[in-house]
Amino acid sequence: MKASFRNLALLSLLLSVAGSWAQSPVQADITAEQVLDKAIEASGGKATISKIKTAVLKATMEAPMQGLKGSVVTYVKAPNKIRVETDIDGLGKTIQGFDGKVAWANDPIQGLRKLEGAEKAAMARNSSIVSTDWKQFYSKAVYIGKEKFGDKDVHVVELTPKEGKPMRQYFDAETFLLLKQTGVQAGAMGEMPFEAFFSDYKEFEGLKLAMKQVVKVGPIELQITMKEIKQGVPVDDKLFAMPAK
Amino acid sequence: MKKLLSLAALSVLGALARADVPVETRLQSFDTVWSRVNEYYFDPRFGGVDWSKLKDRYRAKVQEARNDAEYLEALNGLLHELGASHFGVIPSSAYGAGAAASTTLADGEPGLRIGLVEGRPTVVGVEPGSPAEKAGVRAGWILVSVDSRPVAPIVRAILQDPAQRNLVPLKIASALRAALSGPVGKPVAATFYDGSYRTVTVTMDRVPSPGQVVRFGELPPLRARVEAKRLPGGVGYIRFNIFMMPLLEAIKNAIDSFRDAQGIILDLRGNPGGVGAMAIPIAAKFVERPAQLGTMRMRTGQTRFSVNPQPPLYRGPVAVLIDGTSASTSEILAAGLQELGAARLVGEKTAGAVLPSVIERLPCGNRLQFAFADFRTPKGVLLEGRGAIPDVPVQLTREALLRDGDVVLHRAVRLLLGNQPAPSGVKR
Repeated sequence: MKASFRNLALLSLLLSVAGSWAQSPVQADITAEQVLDKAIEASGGKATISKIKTAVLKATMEAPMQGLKGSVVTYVKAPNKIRVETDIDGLGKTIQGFDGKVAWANDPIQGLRKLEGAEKAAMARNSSIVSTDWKQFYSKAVYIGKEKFGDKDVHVVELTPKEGKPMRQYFDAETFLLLKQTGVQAGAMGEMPFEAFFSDYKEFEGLKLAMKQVVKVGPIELQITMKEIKQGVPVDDKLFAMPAK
Repeated sequence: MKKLLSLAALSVLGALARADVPVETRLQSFDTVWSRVNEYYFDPRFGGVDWSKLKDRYRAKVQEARNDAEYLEALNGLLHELGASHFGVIPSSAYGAGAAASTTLADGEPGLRIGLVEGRPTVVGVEPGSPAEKAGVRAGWILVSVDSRPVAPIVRAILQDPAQRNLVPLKIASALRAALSGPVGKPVAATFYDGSYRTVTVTMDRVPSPGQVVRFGELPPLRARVEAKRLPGGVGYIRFNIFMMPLLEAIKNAIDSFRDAQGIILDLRGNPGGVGAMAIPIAAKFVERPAQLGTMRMRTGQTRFSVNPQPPLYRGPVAVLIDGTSASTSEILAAGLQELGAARLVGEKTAGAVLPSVIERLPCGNRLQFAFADFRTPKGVLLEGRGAIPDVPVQLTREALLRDGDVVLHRAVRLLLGNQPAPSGVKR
């Protein structure tokens, strides 16, 4: 599952996965496509991924320095439905959804609205439980090179969405699990650079998932900790449809 | 999540921590303060201040501080070098062991608003039903002393402080409010010059501020309230004391309830701001098409305050009451509505304290408030240091206050009811 940073809400989604095609601009022993393919395998493999039809993920969210706490609940249903509920103490509840056709958001600040353009594209990218078809959402994937991330070597791949700005993903050179992602969150309110860090991977019914995510946006550092993951549970389609009001 | 916090910290005048903070913790906290500003101050040139050079100077002051008061002074001294609003350290004692121990919540007030009128600390508002009203205090009276302590030195000290001159009204209002506040149940004796310049001393009860207790992150707990009523003539009047999300529904409901009113008045006098984004859904009740209230610009990235109409809309005339104690989010909302032609501003210039900020806990337990962005209106006007300028300026005078009471409100009502021509350049 790809991580999304749309209003920092879709962060409860899990792994970034791969399955891509690309030309590398640098002389390297590995291509972007190979890195992304290996990332899919690292996260459990296509066969395992394809078995997932529904999932409900519950996480806590905290900005410890600013004393903010909240929760995130994500509902996903194959092949392309998602609903994310984010509740932050003192700020209220934000809900975002995509039913495969219509992307929408409802929050106390902007109210209920239909998402279009880059916002809708971002929701669509993050809607599939796990995407193995990069061509569906990305126009380009480029191998940038090998870097150090802490004491680990990482492969850096730059992905360019069909709509939206490029993002970079940093994969552990040994395990091919996603460790970091950088990019620009684009939305109706502008563009915000972000950094996200993934750690504490655990295997869950064949999938390797990051139990902890840290997202930095300006001076805010959000820590998201996965608390509960349920697969194969009934999830009503109505959850994903844009409400009337 | 870009949230704008307010100048509410200015009103937190809690006592200093009881036990002195160890030097090592002080230095650790100082380093955090310096580093956070160094990393996130929106202007990489720090407005011409040599931030690196200041580090050694103020670190030495922290190291030499003999007590927590000097320590706090050193921290705030560093931050004040920036000459910008929304920078300061809030002492941990403002938070107490819990809500009940907080000076903000435990203290009571007699129900007066004091402002500087013709250079003197003057009653500009008396809360209906408050101890002050019951004691017969009237707008236009000049405050002389509180519990036998003259207030002139407080006012003089603020007036003589060369830093951030635009914040003088806000500082004076906060300081005199603090002087009048105290434990609930302990009366306060205040001496005034009344309308005839006679010396009058009245004893007033201190009662808890009305409103619900709200908490948001590291902001001290506060009492938040909305007042909505229909004025004679059919004008709807809405006042709220802070921008906190738990008030949003009540504010929107009030606007909706005045759908048939001949005009709506939003009274933002004395409102120090709060959650910045909350200006958006309020503005969304008054705009007919998608618009912007302005843009906050960080060192990297920027965020637009995009407003999408949220029906049911109010399509009648709107007046926003402002003065030098309207700050931060109040200014964003007022200036934004003004530029969009959705409201006329009545009163006095706002504080000019409009920098989006966050509040964080320091290792010593104090909280650091620091700005990480600036804010410009849709026309590109930087509000920090400038404020929102009224369309209908009302310069308060003691004579007018004594004669008419809330002259700003009266002027706004006349404007909305069509008894006064709209100023040039205003659409409505």
